[in-house]
Amino acid sequence: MGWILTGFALIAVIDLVPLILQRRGRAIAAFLTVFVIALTIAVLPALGVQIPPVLTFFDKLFKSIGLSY
Amino acid sequence: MRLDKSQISGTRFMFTITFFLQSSALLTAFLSSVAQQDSWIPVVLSTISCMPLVYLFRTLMVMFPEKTLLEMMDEVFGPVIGKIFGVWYLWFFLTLAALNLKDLGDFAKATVMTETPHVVLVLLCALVVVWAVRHGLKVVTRYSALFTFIEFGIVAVTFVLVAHQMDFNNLLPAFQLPPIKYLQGTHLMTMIPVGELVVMLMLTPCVKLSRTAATKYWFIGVTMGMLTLFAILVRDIMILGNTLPMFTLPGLVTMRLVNLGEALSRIEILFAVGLTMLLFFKVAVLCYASTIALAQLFKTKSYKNFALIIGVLVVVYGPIIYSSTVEQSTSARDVIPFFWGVFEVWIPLLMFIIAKIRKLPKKTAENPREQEPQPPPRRRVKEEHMK
Amino acid sequence: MITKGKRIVALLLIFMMLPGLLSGCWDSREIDKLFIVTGIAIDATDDPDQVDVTMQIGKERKGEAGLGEAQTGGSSTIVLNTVNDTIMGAIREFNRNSNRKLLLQHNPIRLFGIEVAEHGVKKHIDLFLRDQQARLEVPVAIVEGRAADVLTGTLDQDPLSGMFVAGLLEDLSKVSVELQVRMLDFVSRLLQETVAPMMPIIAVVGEEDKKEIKTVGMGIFKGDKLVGRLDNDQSLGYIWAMGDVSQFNVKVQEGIDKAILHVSKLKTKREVTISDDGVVKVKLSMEGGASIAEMEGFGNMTPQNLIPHLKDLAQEEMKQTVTEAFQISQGLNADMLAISATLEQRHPKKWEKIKDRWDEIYPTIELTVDANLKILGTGQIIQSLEMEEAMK
Repeated sequence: MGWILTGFALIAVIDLVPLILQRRGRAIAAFLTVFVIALTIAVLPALGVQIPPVLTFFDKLFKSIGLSY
Repeated sequence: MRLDKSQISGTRFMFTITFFLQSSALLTAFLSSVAQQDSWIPVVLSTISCMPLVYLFRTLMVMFPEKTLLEMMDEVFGPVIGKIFGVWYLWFFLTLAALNLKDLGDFAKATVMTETPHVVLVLLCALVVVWAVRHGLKVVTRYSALFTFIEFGIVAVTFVLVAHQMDFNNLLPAFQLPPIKYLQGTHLMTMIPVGELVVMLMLTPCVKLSRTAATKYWFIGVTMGMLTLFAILVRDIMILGNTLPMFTLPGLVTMRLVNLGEALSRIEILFAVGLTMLLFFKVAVLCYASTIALAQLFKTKSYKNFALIIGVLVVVYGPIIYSSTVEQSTSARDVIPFFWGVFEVWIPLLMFIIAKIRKLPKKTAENPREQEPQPPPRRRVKEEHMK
Repeated sequence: MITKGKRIVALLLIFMMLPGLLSGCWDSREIDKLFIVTGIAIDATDDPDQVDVTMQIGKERKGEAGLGEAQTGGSSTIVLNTVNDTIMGAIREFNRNSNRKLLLQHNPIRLFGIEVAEHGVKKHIDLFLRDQQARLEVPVAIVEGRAADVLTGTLDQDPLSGMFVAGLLEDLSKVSVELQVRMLDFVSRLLQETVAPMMPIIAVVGEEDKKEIKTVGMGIFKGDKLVGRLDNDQSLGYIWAMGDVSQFNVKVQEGIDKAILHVSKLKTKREVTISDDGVVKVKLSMEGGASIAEMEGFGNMTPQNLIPHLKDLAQEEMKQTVTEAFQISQGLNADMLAISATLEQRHPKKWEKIKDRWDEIYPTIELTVDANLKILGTGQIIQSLEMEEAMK
């Protein structure tokens, strides 16, 4: 967990800080969107939370409407 | 507005396409579980059936020469629907990148570096990918030609080295499977390696291509890539015969069988080297597309600051796409051809139709390349002189 | 634009990182931490749910190179043996009880005891197909008796018996690929349910401390169970029928007259026909070039009559040997010539109709064998000494 948070902090220092200093609002919004998603996906398994497989949902959806072999 | 000012030549673009297709060498395992000894037939059929799809991609590239796929969708579908599709495509590129990066890590861990943690292997690759993406398309595609020829060389050399073990009878009986298997195989080959070339539409502004050149480079690139896949499949079928569907990495098994004296054996490291190059390159192109897509969705002026976080997202996203490799291979075989078809065929086709109906793109000073080069004016010097 | 200073820092960082990244330190395996497996033997135990696993480990030599064999004296191998539920369980046990890890990648031979072969080998080969270290081009063989005897005995021929057996089979493969059965070949036949897998049989003969390993024939399997065998002479019939055989001898005898013909290359063409009512006929046409390697007798013949006569005798001998081997396989109802595979490849629609009745059809197959040998040479002399004396 420590490594994950350190890594993400480093990424924020490398990329987010320059964006804040340049006051680029849209870029900050874009960065933070991806940052939060990535951090969440990285941290949850470390906390023991199971994230359901993403494509399994679409698999079931397509099979339910008959679009599969 | 162009985010990446770098330009690549048509030839480099062509090799990018070829190498992108070659990186689907892992796919042969999915195909052989469907079509067994007839796996070469869907490759031939898909090479023919994918041509309209390739022509569609080429046409979109020519119709909107200064726009990426997301910008094309903005213009054609409007800002709202264009953005919604844009978010879907961003997810699509990220998913492809994550799947391929995970495959690279899985392969390295299973065959070469069994003790090294999976995350270390993928993180190292991702860091190099991020570095390349930050420096633009020119750096991402710099080695496409070299890698393509290296892969050709590996395939050719192994073909020669295992030739004495090949049995043409392993290709028989041909055309004896139920027609649905050939359909499934063709669909799989069209959607997964060829259809994924839709990502090349994110590279459009960086490629200088006239209509004729676009046609040439697209079709030659696809043909070379499919020929490589065909050669790999035929080699594996003739060597492995009825054991082919058993293996998760048939190419690796084939290379392990090379045994010409003591010196020329155990050359499966060539497979590892080739596959690492291929998957690294594919992940780099997909990460580049994802970064540009993100930048364009949020209308930012630069994309470089997003490369690292996109790379990290791809690393952490990979393990949660499927619950197991068995589920991944079953899904790839049975469902993915339909699902990926939405991104690779239906939306681009819809975009093309709507663009034609609305007579898009509107010709402006910004996109003069749409027009064919005008012939030079006739020289009237002699007539004036005679007057 | 990267400044010169940043470039230098970047280069220094790269040079510092490269040794760590490229050395694969996590997966580093030094040779003194490895046991290099030179042979694996699988035997049955009294408990059918357990398996007896023996591994031969080649010891690395200590001291200077070129000073001869036993620097330390004693055996060149270590033999590990255990009984476990599975082969992987046995490997884990070996690794757990040792300060070294087993390296299977250089294992040159896999041996099955005769009892294991008779009970079925399928459950013992999953690891060798699944594990990334295990290689599919490694040959397999059955041992008359216990497979462990090959790896544990002190051989007169070679201290590393596993390597010796692998070399023996490698040499046989130069005569015919059918004599060296790789794991892949065995599994390929196993997957074709109607084709009989084959495996060479070896035996350990001789007294303690002076043992020898010999090939004694080929084992015929039905499914994954050994159901019969061919001796060395009958095995010739099998490989001649399969074709692509090089450098072998045909012995002909007529009364007290004997000759050995050396055939450099034999090709066999196979025609398999199936009538509409399911009658299968097989025609094998063998063609090759031979020379007289050794002769005894034939004093009453002239050289002009000798060559065609020897040719006829050799051709007849080959036909009989092939037919005899085939009849043994028919008696066992085991399609060792892979005729069913040929039918499936060449006549797939007819094959679909009869494949469920293959066990009834196989014993009724009519085999026709043709042999055409050209005597290309007689060696340095034409007439034998008996012929020379008879002429005087």
